[in-house]
Amino acid sequence: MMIQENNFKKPVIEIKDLHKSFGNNHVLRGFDFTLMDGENVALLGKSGSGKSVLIKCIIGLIKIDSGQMRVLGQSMSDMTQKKLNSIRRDVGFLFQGSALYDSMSVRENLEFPMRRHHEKNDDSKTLLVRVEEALDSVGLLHTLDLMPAELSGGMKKRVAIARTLILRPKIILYDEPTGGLDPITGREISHLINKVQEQYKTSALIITHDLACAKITTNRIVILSEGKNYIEGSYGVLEQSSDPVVQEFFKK
Amino acid sequence: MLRRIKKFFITTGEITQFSARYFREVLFPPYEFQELLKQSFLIGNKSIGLVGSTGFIMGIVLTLQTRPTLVEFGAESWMPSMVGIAIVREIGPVITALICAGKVGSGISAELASMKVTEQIDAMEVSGTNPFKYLVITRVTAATIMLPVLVVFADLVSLIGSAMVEYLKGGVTLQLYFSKVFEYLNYGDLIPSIVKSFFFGFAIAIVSCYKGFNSSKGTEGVGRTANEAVVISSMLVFVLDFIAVLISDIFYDL
Ligand SMILES: Nc1ncnc2c1ncn2[C@@H]1O[C@H](COP(=O)(O)OP(=O)(O)OP(=O)(O)O)[C@@H](O)[C@H]1O
Ligand SMILES: [Mg+2]
Repeated sequence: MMIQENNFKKPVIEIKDLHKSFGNNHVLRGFDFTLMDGENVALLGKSGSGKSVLIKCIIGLIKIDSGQMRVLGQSMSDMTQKKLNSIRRDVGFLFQGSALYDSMSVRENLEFPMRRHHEKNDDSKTLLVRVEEALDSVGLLHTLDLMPAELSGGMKKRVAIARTLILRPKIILYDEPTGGLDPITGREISHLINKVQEQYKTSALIITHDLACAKITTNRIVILSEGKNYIEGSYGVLEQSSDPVVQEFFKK
Repeated sequence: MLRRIKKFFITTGEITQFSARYFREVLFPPYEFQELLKQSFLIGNKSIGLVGSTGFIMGIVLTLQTRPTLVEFGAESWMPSMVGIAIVREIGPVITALICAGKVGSGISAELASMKVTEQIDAMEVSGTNPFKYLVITRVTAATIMLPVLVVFADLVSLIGSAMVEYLKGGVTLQLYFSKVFEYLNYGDLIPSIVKSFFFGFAIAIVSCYKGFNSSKGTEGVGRTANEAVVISSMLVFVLDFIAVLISDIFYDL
């Protein structure tokens, strides 16, 4: 019982020499990265540096040009649709703009991934229990029957987080969870991410511009610059770094 | 100018590919029956009021305008059959299709475009759903089924409008009017018009889905997308109608 935890953690995402370009726009140029089980990592990078593209590659929404990528031990190249779906079931994805379905109520939004991934007990009663549980964990139980248009930006983010959690994923990819929110709501969401991590024992890759969020939520920070993983380290270490690129992110 | 022509051919090619993908995927599971039913209901529900009132007015107007000429020639008794044939063969299908291009086509393309821009389509894919099946196939199939239904409805309402004019102006009873209409109307009029309605429905929905699905980034792109979808699908309705008339003409000659 003593030798578990830190020593024998296995990688859940392994990326080696990832390349991706759109026409002449070489967005990712040899990106390397490993996410360990139970770890929260923040990914910093300037706007347009390819952070969203990177996590879309991880979930198979964007096809990579070259490189190796393993998610939960499975190689992502030449994957059948069925296998890809089973990986997607275990990887939660929070979209940068929340991406709630406008034509569905909050409840239907949360039910959608469960119905679609063919949860075993998908009679409507157990679905509702899980929807309520997920909504409760983001503190928005009262919005069950509202439409997305009736929610504020922060509420949308939280509903979207609930939708990401509902399948109890092993890995969560957050694309700017605190983007466009005031500092107070941002902090609440950061703490929510930590709560989720403790409760469901997930690993997470968190894209953010928000240093406060990175400080609260993560064990390790990776900086993406010019298509490569420029540097990584803990918040404390990077904060003291004299490297000009790193300084850019940390200067007040 | 040359660029425009080039773009026209590229778009035509892409829409053809998009249609080919529809036929490749429509037959294989998973089938999205629930969504198909929902979309069919929405399409019917959205346009039935407009289709009905426009059809009714067209029936009245057409009768009022042709009546004096026929009276002059002493041929009023031809009124029901003439109007009946005009409505069933041409006016019903084309008016219905144009209304649906405006109402249903713009709705579909704007909806899909905004889903695309706000990454809802990506979100669907992450949720283990094939967005093409869930969004495109259901909408195109629903429109293809619903358009002929709406056309038959428009025909009926139009004929009722025309019959009312005949009753008020010429004292022709409803019964007599409709028996005359059906005396001259045969399957050769009805079937081609129903068949072309299927094509109208398919064309409108496939163009609108194509436009929405391939919408360029940005929310202001959504309005432009809807606009283009309406323009292209309305044009296509006329082109298809022209082809349909040519083809059925061949059959008449036989
Ligand atoms: N589907 C696409 N087609 C073509 N180019 C794309 C596509 N998606 C992203 N890009 C390009 O890739 C680059 C990186 O985009 P990305 O969205 O990953 O930036 P980001 O780091 O997430 O920025 P932000 O912090 O503003 O969200 C941009 O130059 C963008 O134009
Ligand atoms: Mg981004």
